Amino acid sequence: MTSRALILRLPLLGLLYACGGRTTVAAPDARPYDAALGLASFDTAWSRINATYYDSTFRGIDWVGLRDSLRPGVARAAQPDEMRRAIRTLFDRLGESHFMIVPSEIAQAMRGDSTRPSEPGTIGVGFRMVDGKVMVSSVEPGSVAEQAGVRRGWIVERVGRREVAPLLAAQRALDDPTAARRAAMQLVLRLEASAGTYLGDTVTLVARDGGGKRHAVTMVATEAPGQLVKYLQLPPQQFHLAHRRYADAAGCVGWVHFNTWMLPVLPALDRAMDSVRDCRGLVLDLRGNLGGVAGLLMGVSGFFVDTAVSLGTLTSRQTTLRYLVNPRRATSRGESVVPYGGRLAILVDPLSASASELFTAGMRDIGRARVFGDTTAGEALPAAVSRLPNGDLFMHVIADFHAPNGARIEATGVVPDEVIPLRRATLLRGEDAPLAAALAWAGRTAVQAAARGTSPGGQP
Amino acid sequence: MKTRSLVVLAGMSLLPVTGSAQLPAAKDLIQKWATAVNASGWKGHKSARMVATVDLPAMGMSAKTEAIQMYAPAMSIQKTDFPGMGEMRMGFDGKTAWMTNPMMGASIVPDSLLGAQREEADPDNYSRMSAAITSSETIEKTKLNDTECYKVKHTWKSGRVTHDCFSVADGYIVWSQSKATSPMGEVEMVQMFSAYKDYGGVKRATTTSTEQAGQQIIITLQSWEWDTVDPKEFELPADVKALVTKKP
Repeated sequence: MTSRALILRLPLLGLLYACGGRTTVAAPDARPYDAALGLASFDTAWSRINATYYDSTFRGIDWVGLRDSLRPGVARAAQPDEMRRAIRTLFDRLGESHFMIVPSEIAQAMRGDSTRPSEPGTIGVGFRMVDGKVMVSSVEPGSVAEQAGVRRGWIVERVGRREVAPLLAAQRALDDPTAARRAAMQLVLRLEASAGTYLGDTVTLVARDGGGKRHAVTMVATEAPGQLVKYLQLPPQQFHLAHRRYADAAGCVGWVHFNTWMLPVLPALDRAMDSVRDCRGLVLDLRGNLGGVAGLLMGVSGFFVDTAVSLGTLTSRQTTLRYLVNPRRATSRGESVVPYGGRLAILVDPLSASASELFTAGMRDIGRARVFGDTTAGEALPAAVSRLPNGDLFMHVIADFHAPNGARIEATGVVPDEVIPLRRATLLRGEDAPLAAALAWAGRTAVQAAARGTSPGGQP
Repeated sequence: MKTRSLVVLAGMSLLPVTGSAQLPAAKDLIQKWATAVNASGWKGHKSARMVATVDLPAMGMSAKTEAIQMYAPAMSIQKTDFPGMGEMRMGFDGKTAWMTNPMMGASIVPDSLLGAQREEADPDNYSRMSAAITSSETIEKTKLNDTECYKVKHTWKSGRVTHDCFSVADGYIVWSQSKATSPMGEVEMVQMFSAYKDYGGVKRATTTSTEQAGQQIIITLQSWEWDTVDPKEFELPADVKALVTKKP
């Protein structure tokens, strides 16, 4: 037994993190700015990217020159935001997702280190951009929003103190399509963060219904479903998995949704699959799932694939690794199972990001799933998270990703096989058109197979 | 003059030492090392238990890890518990290697990788005099920061190639270079060893700093015990047992 054996086997890849990142607000840092610490933080950020960014040519940028041009300004900075602005300039010049800096005061608030109550709350609504407007895209059954009469298809004008119009104007002003799409995603995330982040938050939603009538609905956030999960240095996140059986005369089609790629997903999926395993088709709903721990791709895909095939490759400066399916032949409870073999539809939208995109692209490319919904976020690069000397959280890209067909997902996103963009008319009717299409496909051929007297459950 | 490599790792520079002085034979370096650390000290024991801490400074992660090994029959298990991540376990019973972690669930290591697994499980490998190493060759005198060392290339029965650098001053291994192989692919790995101390009659590096996939991992050995392992400790986790039972 040597130290070598011990290190060899640490599954480092699983530590890679990939997430679009939700936003939150916190009181400004009241501490006096420490210029030396600020400069050390800038230097650390630059050095970490310098040492680990997958492209040693830095996309053609003079990386050393960029540091040298920014550093004097950082040395003169009187406020932490000036230093952070310089770090964000590094990010902007590389122009890729998964670069992020979270000020220490916000990171503390998100961690619950502050005096702010940190029980996660929700009013039960989701927002999306539809035809250039922000609309209520989902209302959770039984939520305070549903009880207050909020309905799908309402055009949102204000959430809490956040007015939508100026945010939309800023987003529309962007010429670059990728930047505009990312801005739209951040806009929606900001609004969702304003819609009751904590239990007991009072939120007023101002929106117009289908008839143009303006509603101002004040609601108090209730406890968010799921469990609070802490991963590495990241702020805690609420993990939630839901599942349902859509029964019909021919049996059932299953539906499973989880909101983030966090570690409880495997045992939670064990339980969910137990309840839908007999269904002839399954819809895996990754809408709004911003990503998480990329290593989970290998475990989650194993619920649906019975061979150790690659879902894509991760290329860093040092190595190329494959995200291999680990077929789920035993549950966490130690029971033997067979990976689900029925039809699999994956449902995505512009807020399906990162690990959700890597998974979706991989599962489609290996022929295991058909994808429904709207084009994903295009934020699909493996990243690592660390702290800077001043306590800020720092996320930076360390590898590139290519799907099994060789395509990059970054910037382009995953375009579904069946693109079903949200429409206000269907939202106002209370319909979930993408889900309806996915359910219909997942159940269809299996019904035909059953009618022919063959066993349902063949791969698509 | 052959091309020499320059490796820069976490602020430490590894530089070739120029000059064409006669290099010592690999077998002499290995013999000196094996004697200095008493590498055969494991013989006469039935099992070993190692406890260490694992730190990933950039990620702010710290974990406790425990590795147990039985020599006859050859069995090993390693458990690492990262707070907020859950326990990772891996084991080898002489025939089957397995692993389980919260990201992938349980899996059996493919037969194609078992050769390296067997080699790692052999306690004799610490001496670098085991039968698993088919050849060793001194290839250069080099320098890690201020420490001069002789770089030796080992070729193993399984076909893998590793390198050790033996300190010119005291004969200890100061760094090693190898590839970590998994079904996902290979990762180049460089380990730096320091603070050799006596653990149960065998000298081992208290601190091992590893660069792997762009991450630094620091392992600090806490304790080493002989013959305290209960065979029951090798009982398989339930999910692995389900896989092993199904294995044809």
